[in-house]
Amino acid sequence: MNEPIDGIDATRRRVLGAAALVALAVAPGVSLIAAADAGQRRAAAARPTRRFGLLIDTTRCKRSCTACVTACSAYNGWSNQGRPIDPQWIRKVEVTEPVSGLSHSVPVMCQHCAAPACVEVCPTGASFKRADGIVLVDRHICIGCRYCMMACPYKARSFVSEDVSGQRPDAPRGKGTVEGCTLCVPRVDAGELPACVEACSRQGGGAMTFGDLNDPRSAIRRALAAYPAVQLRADLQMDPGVRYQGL
Amino acid sequence: MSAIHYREIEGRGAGFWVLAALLAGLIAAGLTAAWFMEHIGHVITGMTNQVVWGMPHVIAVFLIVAASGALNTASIASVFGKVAYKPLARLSGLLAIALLSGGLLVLVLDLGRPDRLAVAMTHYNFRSIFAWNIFLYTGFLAVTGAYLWVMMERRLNDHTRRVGTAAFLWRLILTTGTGSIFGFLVARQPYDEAIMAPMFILMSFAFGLAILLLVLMSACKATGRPLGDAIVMRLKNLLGVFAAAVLYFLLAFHVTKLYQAEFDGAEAFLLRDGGVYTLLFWGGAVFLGGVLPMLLFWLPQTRRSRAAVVWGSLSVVAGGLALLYDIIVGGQAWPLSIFPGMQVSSSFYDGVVNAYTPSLPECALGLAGCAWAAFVTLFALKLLPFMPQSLADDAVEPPARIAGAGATDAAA
Amino acid sequence: MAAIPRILLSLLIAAVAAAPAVAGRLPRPEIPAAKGAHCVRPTEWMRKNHMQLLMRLRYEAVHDGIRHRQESLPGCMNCHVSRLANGTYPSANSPQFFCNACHRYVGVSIDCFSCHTNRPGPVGPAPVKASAPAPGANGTRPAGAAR
Repeated sequence: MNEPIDGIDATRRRVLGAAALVALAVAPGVSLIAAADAGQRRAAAARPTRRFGLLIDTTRCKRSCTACVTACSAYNGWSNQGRPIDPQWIRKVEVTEPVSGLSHSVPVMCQHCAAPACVEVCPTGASFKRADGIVLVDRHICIGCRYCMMACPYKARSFVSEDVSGQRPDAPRGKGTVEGCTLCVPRVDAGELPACVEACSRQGGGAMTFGDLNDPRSAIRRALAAYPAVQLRADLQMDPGVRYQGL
Repeated sequence: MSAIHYREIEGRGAGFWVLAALLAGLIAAGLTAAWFMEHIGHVITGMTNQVVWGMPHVIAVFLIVAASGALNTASIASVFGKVAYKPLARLSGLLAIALLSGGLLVLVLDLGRPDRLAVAMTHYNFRSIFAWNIFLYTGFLAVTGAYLWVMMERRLNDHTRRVGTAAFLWRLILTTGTGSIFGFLVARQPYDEAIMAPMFILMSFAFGLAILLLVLMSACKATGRPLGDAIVMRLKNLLGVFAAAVLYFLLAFHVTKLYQAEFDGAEAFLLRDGGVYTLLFWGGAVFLGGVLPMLLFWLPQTRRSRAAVVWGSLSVVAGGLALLYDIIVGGQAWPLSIFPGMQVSSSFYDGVVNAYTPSLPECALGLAGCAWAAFVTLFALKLLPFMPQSLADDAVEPPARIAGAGATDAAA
Repeated sequence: MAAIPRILLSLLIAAVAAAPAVAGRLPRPEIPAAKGAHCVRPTEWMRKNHMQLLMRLRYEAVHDGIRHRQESLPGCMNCHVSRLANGTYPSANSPQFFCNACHRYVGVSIDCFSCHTNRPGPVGPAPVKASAPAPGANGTRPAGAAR
């Protein structure tokens, strides 16, 4: 107790130790904590200099393979039994050109737009974009109005209609709020790949590349520079961070 | 006659209490349904990850739109100086508050986390039209409350026009906001037209006036107060014009959509192939909401009939609900176009028309909102002098005078 | 606004903690023992201020990506939740669950555990399971859903 522990100066501890003074200390305490802790803030993992994105090469995505969906489901703890209320953070869409019959299998998840409609419409600001471009739901302030689901052009968000149990410690999710692909943000913050990307490279066709769209030396930028890629519903100009090659 | 005498309704008969009990029962049922929806989850509703807004939203939007329209009669009297409408101004303001509170009740209780209402009140994203609506709705209640106050407190009568104008402008903005909730949704092809905002304003004129007429006629009948043809026919003609205007906007909306090849699929679905949605559009919104009321109101055989006014107003209400169901649910039934021009299929209902069947709890919740509006109106009429003692022809056609300058209160 | 009930609550807890003379007449919460040597903050401080710390950590984790191994809700669970005598973990509603011991006592309800797990578990990114089902052999595609 003699060493200062994060965020609490000695004066404050003495004050807190004296029960008689507790009443005096508590009210201003709120601001004291904030002031004391401000100096302790660690560097944010979400840096505005970066913009995370995905590149999906549909020519390498096999129709029969669902490694990305399985990995996402296992890591984030959702499951889809085919009911219309079931969540789906990532799905394989079979896309067929009607004249030629040319078919692609396309993983679709939150596109992590630069100008996301879901963030624009959210009344409370629960739907937000991190400094590094990852679009998330702050479920602590999500009221479950589902306006973001109405606004999203990609059907990337799901509403949790039932009680949830057995969540993993870093993948909380629960009834009454909206959820969607987080790009596995706890993994990304720890410098790892999203679960779908890792699974695709290990068990799938290696069709997914994750990286910093702002870094010219990143693998994703080099691949984007080498071959043309498209954004889904590019006409809406929401500038998705997920790009597709081979479509 | 130069003075309008207002008086509370008696509210002592068996009919009053039976009605009150019935409404209270409906409210209780809706609250129970909402409790189950919160505790079990939205799995007990028909709403899904495909059709995310359903019956509660249809009814809530109807009530909210009708609320701003119900205020119109008051606005016509105090803002545009039409003295003939003045006796109805108080009732008009009361209905506006009652309907809006009913709509908000439904909307809030449908939230995934209604317990976090305080969050909605403390966290705002000002780029969201939804967040603006929170202010528009609460502000509307406040402005309309103030409007009622200056109308009912004789010493403040001089302010009626000013406050009435504020309320009128507020309601125009409010309905613009409600229409924009859908009009701004570029992602969904059946929405995505700015014309939805003015269309919602015209819808509000029609729905609100239809409800006002129904409440007025039934209240006068139940309390034995005289209600002359002059006012009824005047309101009826106005309702016919509003119904026609809604039809005009529907025409303009769909023609605009049809002209753009991008929307051909969605339009063909809603107008031709959509099954229940097509039926609701042509049979509900167009026929019940527009054509039938106009026929009832203006055909020589029925134009003088009181019963035709009642049926025509009911028809406008039914058509309005059908139109909102068509817009809200039909608009989501049509799949999103993520890969334009391609055929798609997936495990998440891509490329298929989404099914939606309203469940009992969500219908009960919606009905509770309507019952709440009626309950508030009923008891407000009993407690305060909202209703004129007489709306007989000689009482409502005073010599032309400036609105707000002559009415005397006679609250006994 | 929300600080007022918190302040009152802090006063109540402080009063309970600082008044052993009253303890005989007052039922006291039975707080399950923690595993670690010491908490991330002094216990006295945590009693009064844990909610503010959690709110700050939650904001930083969600919005800024600042994730701590110990100073996090899963970190709390790792020290403060143990198996019961029957070998299971207490449920989030159980009075034997650490948070509930005091929260029930003071009548303050929390809804953290409708989303967060209240069991100990590894903090930090979990590896993608190598034993995941073979491609195409999972249950996520419902029969007949892709009409």
